[in-house]
Amino acid sequence: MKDNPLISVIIPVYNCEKYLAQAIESVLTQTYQPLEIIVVDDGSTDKSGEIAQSFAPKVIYCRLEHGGGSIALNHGISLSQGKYIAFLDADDLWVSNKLTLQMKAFNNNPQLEAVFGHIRQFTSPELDENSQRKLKIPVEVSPAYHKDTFLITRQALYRVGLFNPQIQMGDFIDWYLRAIEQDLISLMLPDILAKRRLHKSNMGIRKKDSRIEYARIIKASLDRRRKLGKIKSFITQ
Amino acid sequence: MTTIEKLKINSPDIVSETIDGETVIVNLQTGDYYSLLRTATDIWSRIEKGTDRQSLISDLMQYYNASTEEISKAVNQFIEVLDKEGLITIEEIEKPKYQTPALKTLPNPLETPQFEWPEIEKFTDMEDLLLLDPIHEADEEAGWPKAKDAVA
Repeated sequence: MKDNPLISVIIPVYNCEKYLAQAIESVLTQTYQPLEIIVVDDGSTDKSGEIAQSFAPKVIYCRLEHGGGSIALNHGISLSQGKYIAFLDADDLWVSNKLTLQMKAFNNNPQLEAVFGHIRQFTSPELDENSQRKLKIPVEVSPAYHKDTFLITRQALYRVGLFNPQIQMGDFIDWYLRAIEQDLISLMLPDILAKRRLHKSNMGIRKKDSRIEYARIIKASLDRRRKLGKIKSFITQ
Repeated sequence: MTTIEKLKINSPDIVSETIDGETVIVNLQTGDYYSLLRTATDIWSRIEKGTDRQSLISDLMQYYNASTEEISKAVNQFIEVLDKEGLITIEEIEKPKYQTPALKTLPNPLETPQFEWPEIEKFTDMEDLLLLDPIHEADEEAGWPKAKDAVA
């Protein structure tokens, strides 16, 4: 498969020693090759850095001072060489034919700029019964406009722009809104491409303060879309 | 027993923020979001501060230049929509014996604000995006993205 174009896979990590190795493995075992795997360590204070480095030379490791997810993602993009770019959160997993399925979609339709797919949510197996019960899975399988399921051409990524470093929680929501405002040509595959881990450290997250950021991201998008005259809403009465 | 209908924002599933006069409400249960302007924004912020159906109507009557009939009809209909969309909860409670009168914003008699029919604009184009994200990202103890203290 030496004619296959290179895909860069960016895995940002911050203190995720428990799951990072599994995430990297799920990329190394992809049926699609060649890949360039870049782990961007956002200043972890646990063993995430050592774990990532143990995969050298198959994995490129770089460490930043702690600055937030968007900055780490952008740094990974700046280091990447691939014609296509994909992302994986350090606690999640890909299915082994994820990139093969997505590249097939690109080959079938050269117009495409990005390919998404479905995600399956699972509770992390090391959790005791009580914690598993507390982690309510809203929908097990769903179409996902999410970093984990995303494969994009480098050209389209730069057309839309990098991740907004001002945003802490909703980095991908903000990015994707900008992408649809700019008419990103994308496809949603019916296949499950990634598995999203629900674990103890992502359960307490529905905090109001951080969720408020969503309202701000959406307000900014509404303003931009109104300017462009692209607004699809309805009045409910 | 006299009761009142207490109106409350249906948090934590509902988050909202008012920026430049527009209130954006996000329903994290459905992934839908909403936009309110002018009178609707005013009503939403009064609900946020804590009110009940009757006080809301009488406060608005003092503030706006419109008939009782028009205001109560508009408010009742608006509350019904907010409730149907799961954005607020309505709880019937016993009327407190004595209520501290709330500080009222009195209109400037020279410039009584125009009462507009409160409208709510609904957007469903982000359901797949918003439904996934809320529980995904890590929290403060374990990783990111951290809601930085500096970023209020």
